[in-house]
Amino acid sequence: MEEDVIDQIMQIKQIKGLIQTNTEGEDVASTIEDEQLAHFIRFLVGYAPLFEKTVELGPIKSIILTSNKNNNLGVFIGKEHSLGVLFARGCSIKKLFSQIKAYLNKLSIGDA
Amino acid sequence: MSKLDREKILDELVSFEGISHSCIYQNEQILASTFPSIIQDKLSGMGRFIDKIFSSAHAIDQAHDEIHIQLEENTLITYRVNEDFLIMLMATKGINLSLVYMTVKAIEKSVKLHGLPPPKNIASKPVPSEVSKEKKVPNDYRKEDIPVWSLKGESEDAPRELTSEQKVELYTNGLKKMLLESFGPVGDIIFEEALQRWQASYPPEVESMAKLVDLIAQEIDSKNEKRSFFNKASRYIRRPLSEIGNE
Repeated sequence: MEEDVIDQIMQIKQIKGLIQTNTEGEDVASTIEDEQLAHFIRFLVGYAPLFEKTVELGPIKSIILTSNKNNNLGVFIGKEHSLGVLFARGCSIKKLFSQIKAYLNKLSIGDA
Repeated sequence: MSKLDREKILDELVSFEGISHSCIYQNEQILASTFPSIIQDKLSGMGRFIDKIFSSAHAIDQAHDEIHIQLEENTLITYRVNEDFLIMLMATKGINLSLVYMTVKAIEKSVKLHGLPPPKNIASKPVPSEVSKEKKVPNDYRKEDIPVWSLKGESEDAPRELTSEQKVELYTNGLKKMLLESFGPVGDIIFEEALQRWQASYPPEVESMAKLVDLIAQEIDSKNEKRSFFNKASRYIRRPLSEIGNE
């Protein structure tokens, strides 16, 4: 079922790649070929709990990085799985959220 | 960056709807902050963590310079300005991201051009106010919140006899104010682009001011806005200095 959901997300025009990881940062599914980017996404997944512990502002739901030169990048943090998304430069964060929200629920990541 | 300048930047940012707190981080230090004192000691750690994310991205040739960290109720938005310092903002839902983005870009541009000169809203300085009588300021920011970025050193005790440089500054300040009131923070970018081209091509004299108006008009995309600015600015630079200085 999760593979179906991943396929459905990949159908969204602005989505350039996905990586689903478990809490240990291991890949459950991935369509990102750039290994450095994949490492960076895994790094963000592992970094989020450290950030929460240091800053004590509550749980992090997502981390989005944007750029005028590269594709944007988002990590949606769940209890069991997290989802890293590479999305087109110029695609607004609000638009991304609205498009991906339903799928995050299906992946038990919760709406970001 | 003096303490006053940092605070002006932060004051402007927190005046926007949806931004509750902001701070500036550089080299493991919080240079200025409007965050509540209860979490002040956490801010350095926050800056360090976010700086590391930017550094990691850059290490793999990714040029990301904006991060949104969504928390339960708020979003922590951080901009990396000129790869030099971070502006961190605590925002609620419904924030106008474009407004904040363009303001940060205006700050970035100004810092790049002038090595972080102070934004000054000096009440006693005579600045033209003709436009403010005619133009309606957009609702999502207040006119008094727009920083007026100084182009050269300013003194509140300016001599009565104006130097050529001061005369030019009076006119350029007026043109800039016109742009800020018409275009908001984007006006600052338009002005700086045109000013740079003008300084590179023409002598910095009152007699060359019409060239500056031309260059600014070239930066404006909309035909109507271009025409409107050109007409207004052309009238403005023909006015005698004594009239402008007394406003």
